[in-house]
Amino acid sequence: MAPPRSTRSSLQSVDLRALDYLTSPSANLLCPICHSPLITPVQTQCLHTFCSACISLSLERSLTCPVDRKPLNHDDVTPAPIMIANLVNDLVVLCPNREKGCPTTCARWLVESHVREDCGYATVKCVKDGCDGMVERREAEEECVHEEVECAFCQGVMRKLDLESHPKECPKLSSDCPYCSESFPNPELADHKLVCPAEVIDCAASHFGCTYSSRRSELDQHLSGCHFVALTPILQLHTERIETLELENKAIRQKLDLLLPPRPLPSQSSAGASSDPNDANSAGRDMTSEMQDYTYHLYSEYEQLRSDFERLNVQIRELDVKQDMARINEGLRYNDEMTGVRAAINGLRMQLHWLLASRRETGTGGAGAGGARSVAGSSVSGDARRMSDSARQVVKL
Amino acid sequence: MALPKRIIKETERLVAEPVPGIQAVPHDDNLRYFDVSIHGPTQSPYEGGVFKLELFLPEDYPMTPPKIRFLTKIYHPNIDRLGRICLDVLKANWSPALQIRTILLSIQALLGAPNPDDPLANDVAQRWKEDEPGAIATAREWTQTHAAP
Repeated sequence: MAPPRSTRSSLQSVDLRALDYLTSPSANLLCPICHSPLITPVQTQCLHTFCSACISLSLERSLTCPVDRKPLNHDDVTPAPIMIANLVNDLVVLCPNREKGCPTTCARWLVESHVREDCGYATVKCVKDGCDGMVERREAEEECVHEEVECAFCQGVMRKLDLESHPKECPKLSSDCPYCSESFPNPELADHKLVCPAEVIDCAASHFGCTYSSRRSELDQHLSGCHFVALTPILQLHTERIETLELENKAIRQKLDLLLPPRPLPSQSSAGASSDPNDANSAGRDMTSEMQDYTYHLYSEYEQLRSDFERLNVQIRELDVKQDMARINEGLRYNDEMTGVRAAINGLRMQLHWLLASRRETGTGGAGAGGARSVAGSSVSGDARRMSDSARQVVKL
Repeated sequence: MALPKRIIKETERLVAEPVPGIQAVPHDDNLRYFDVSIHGPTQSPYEGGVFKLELFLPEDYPMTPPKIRFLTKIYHPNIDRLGRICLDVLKANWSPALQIRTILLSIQALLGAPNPDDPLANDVAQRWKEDEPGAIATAREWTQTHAAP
């Protein structure tokens, strides 16, 4: 006889959009609306692809393409190329009953038939005619688990299905407490365990280092004298403060990282491997050494600039002196030239006088002697002048 | 109703790859409700401020836009006294292809570029148009008083 599971099909529906995928699918295969791999892909006039259901819903609200807002009608939406549909249908998904224990993975187009026909964890109708109960396929045996039965101890009536878990709740059954060995009815046992005076528990300040532990009933005595407990409020405060500081530190470090130019830090790889607080320390050290490097760099640059400046200063001074000398030399040369020119002019004046005088002499006899005398005088003084020219010029200067 | 996969995915990504200057944390008891904080953009009057917002994803999200409101007082022509925001993508221009992160980025951009020609807070917008330096000074003052981190 064939096992019952193959004969009954499950009525459980599969929500394709809620499926989990074995590997995260390419972003190109996701619907821009539901962000899941396309289901029954369709394409718009503007060549965008959506799930058929998603775009229909969207068009009910607004007759535009959700991606580019171009006008769009229901008629402008056509099935997407088969290739796209095949690509998304072949994606491997996990069985929707995975949380109940089904390990199956299969292509998405097969998952519906898997749940309907095969999955042992899918809910199916109960074997018994007339029973409306549902049961997981792997448990759907010959007899109906929905029949009502009576508990042998408390005479409570329940479904056969629930009988298995009933003893934990049955008020007539009792169990022993694992700590004090007293017997309690099952429903009360859990509450008792929380307050059982015989249970050995740790001191309330154990996370601050107290190693004391004793029965619950005797712990009060310890708590009143425990130094750790007395310090708890302040330790708590410190822990909180350290946490906030750590957060702040982290934020500041991030800001600093943004501000500083990225530089290769050889020590960073080793720091990354160490534990958290060490990490912070070494990061701090990195920072200081980096800062020092910077300071040295700036110092050397400053020194270099200063020596450059001094060199330039000296050069400027030399140039100044050179220029002065050149100017003086030039001035002397011009002076000499001027003297020459002046002498030439004086010579010309002499000649002119002499010519004028001889003219007058030939014109008037009486004036001839005076004229000759004056010519002789002037020629003598002219010679003297010519001889003393350079000396006179120097005086003039 | 179970939380749609899209919301789970968006939340995971918001936590794993947060947008710089933006934080969005879902409530433990309601995963459709987010506490958001946005840092004021640099070189805006809101620089240095951290603004708290609340964000709620309605039942038919992403077909309808998320509901967002400023909780921190802010002096801005497009944000009114109740913290409601005038932003086209939160209303008529919403598209289901937008997401929480893109919307929060738009809001951050709105802080960097106030638009007094499409006002929600009329008095603020009026002042912004007539005395922009004064309005910016007030915005800066409010940021220091109400949005100090």
